[in-house]
Amino acid sequence: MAESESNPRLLVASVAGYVVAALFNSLLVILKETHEGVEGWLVNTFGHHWIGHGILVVLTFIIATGISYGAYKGETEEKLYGKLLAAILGATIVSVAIIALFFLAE
Amino acid sequence: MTVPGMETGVHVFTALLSGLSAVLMLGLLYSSSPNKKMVRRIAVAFAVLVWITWIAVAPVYVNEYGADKAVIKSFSETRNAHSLGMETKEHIFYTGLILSLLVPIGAYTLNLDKPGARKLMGWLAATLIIGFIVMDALGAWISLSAKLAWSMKAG
Repeated sequence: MAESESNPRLLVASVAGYVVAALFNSLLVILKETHEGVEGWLVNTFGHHWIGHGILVVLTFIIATGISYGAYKGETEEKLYGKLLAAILGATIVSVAIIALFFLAE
Repeated sequence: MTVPGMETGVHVFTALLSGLSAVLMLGLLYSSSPNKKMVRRIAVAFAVLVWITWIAVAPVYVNEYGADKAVIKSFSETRNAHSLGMETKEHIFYTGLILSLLVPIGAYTLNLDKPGARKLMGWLAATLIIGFIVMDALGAWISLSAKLAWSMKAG
């Protein structure tokens, strides 16, 4: 890629993948903490619930990124940066807040 | 009974290196003429360090933390270090783990000559630096609580 060019297609897809994975991460926390069967399945399948949880989050990211690869429609870069930043910060805050507040409430 | 030992230091050290590399990248992005090659190399190093931080702690957490967890949870003074501290830390880490991948992807696919691109990368770095500080603080809470709990158990 020439220095002056950019090709945000992979970044756009990765941000979409991150949003899905971050939200999946927090929802899986709630699911496994409130349903013993889910945690049991993670233990039986992966050996430890935390390892299984991580593997599923990584797989979710990979799949969601792959599905989103065609999402970039050639928007102007200035418009794109703002949207990507909002998506990243929004997903991060929501994901962390759900997890922290869930365990605070427990 | 196995308790977390010196091997935990690998996790802590690589996490520290990742935090420092994120700070370095942030500084480079906002210098008067950013060295784009250096930013990209540090972006890759950063993500690799975060993933090593995860991989290095997995056997410690799976095989050794259980002993600390049992004693931490047995005292009211330290119980929250696991039920809130570790439970939050071990799960928000995965959000950060995936977020770390966006750093090298952004560094290599964006035109870092554009102020908007550098701002996006800067915010990404800043978010991860804040995440590192939060994770480090939670880790310190858990470690100190383990020490306190074991000393209370010993009488």
